[in-house]
Amino acid sequence: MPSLDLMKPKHQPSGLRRRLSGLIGPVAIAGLLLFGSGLRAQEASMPLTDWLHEVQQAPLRHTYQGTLVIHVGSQVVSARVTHAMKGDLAVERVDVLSGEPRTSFRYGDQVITIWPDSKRWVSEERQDLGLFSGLSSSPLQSMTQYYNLRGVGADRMAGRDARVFEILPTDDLRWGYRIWRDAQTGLVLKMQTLSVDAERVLEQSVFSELNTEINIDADAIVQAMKPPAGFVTDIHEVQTVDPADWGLQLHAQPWGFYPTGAQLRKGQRQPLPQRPLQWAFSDGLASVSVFYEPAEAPFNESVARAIRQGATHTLVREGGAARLTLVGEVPLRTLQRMADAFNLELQENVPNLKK
Amino acid sequence: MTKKTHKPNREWLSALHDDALEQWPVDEDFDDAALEQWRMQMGVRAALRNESLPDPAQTERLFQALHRVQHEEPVARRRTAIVGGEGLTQPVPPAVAANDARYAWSWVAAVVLGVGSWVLWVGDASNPDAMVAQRPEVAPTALIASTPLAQDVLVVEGVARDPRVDALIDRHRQWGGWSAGAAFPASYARNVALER
Repeated sequence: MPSLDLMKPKHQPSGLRRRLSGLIGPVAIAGLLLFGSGLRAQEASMPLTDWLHEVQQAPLRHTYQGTLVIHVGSQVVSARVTHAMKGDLAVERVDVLSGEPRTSFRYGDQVITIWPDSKRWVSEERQDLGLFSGLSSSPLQSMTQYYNLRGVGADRMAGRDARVFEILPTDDLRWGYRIWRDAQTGLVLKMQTLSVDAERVLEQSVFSELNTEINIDADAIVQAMKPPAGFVTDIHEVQTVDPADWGLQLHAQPWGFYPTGAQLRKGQRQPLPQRPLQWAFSDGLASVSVFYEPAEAPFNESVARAIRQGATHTLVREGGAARLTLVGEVPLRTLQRMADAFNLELQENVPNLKK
Repeated sequence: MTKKTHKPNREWLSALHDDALEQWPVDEDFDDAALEQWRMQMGVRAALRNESLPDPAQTERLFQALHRVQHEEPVARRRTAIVGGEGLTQPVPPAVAANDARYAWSWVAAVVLGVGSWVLWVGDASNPDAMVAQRPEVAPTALIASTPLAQDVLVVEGVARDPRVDALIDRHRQWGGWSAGAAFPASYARNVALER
């Protein structure tokens, strides 16, 4: 009868080697986790402004195509997004899959929207094309007073490994954000806008699928921006103005919202009923537009009403000789405080409309 | 402010369903017939939407709450600063105003809509299919609450139903809106997709 030793496999490792080989897997996994968490910790310990700058740079290094699904309240819309680079400028095509069919193109600051059903071609300028556009470095630094960045963990999103971060407000005048970044490319795969207490999701944009291994012809996108034959063309141009020209000022900025610009439609000399002055403010993340328009006739009674659409609040105040409409991705109380401050300025500076 | 035209009571009730709260006339009052009309409209609405009828006990609680609110003194409310005549701003003291009755009705209607929605919600909670069926493709405008911070502000949720306000929301998104989204590579797509 053979000894029991002869029945052992010839290449069976020794007990020590067996124990070591059994440790390789867990050690490797632990190492990866430690490495990953180290990266997350390093990333989360970055200054918020640096981190956001890095997030913004990611799409400049990649082409991608994917389907974006946006939840705002109970409303759900989706769009097919194609992104490429042409030189230093981003080229983007957005085919909106919900509501009336339309395709929007962005090339630098130029934005074109084509409505095939109504055969309309609309050109307009947009400001929200870059991070912190219009903000000086000083307000950027103060932004860290109002938000904290922290790493949350790892997750899977759109079939990709993601790192999750939260940007939480330090007061109750702005929302928080939860962001999923692709571990491979750094692209944002999902973004949630959170209530002040971070308990509720107010709005969410998420790629249901995203392809970053794709060749996209940026020139073809630019070519497709031209107005098709037989389409009505409409060019919306704006001009930057100084609200102080009409006695409109907002001195107090105690909540970190700084003016980023004011505009009227091109050729418009002053705010008019139905054609208001738009004055934009931002704290670096959240933004508010203040629309001021003189009333066609003095309002007999004062009315205030508010509309909430996901993270966006709209506050309308009409009374006396003016109507104020404030729109922003902020809590209602923020709009109310800004409207109060704006009204105080109106009280002290009677609008002096240019003739 | 547009001049209010006279409408029969039941028409105002119908308008209330359609969120025409701000046009509610000062001299219009809920009477028993109006409450019965309201009950009937809720039933018709439930039938049209293939929803379960509200539990009568819950409806009764709704009416009791309504009655209670109707007979309570309006809570002193802070009025926000408003733009006064000739472009000047004047803080409005919490004094009795000519349109206080309208504000009182706003509160009553808010409770009616709020509790009514709650009744419908609870009534359907046991029927998930009905809940899915009633979910609209686009969020309807619905009065949700007068918040403590905005006690004189009617807050509606969903679409604005006001072309002027819709246009301004779009302009906000086109020019200066959602700078947080600028960190998100698809922020532009988000704004485009949400425009009407």
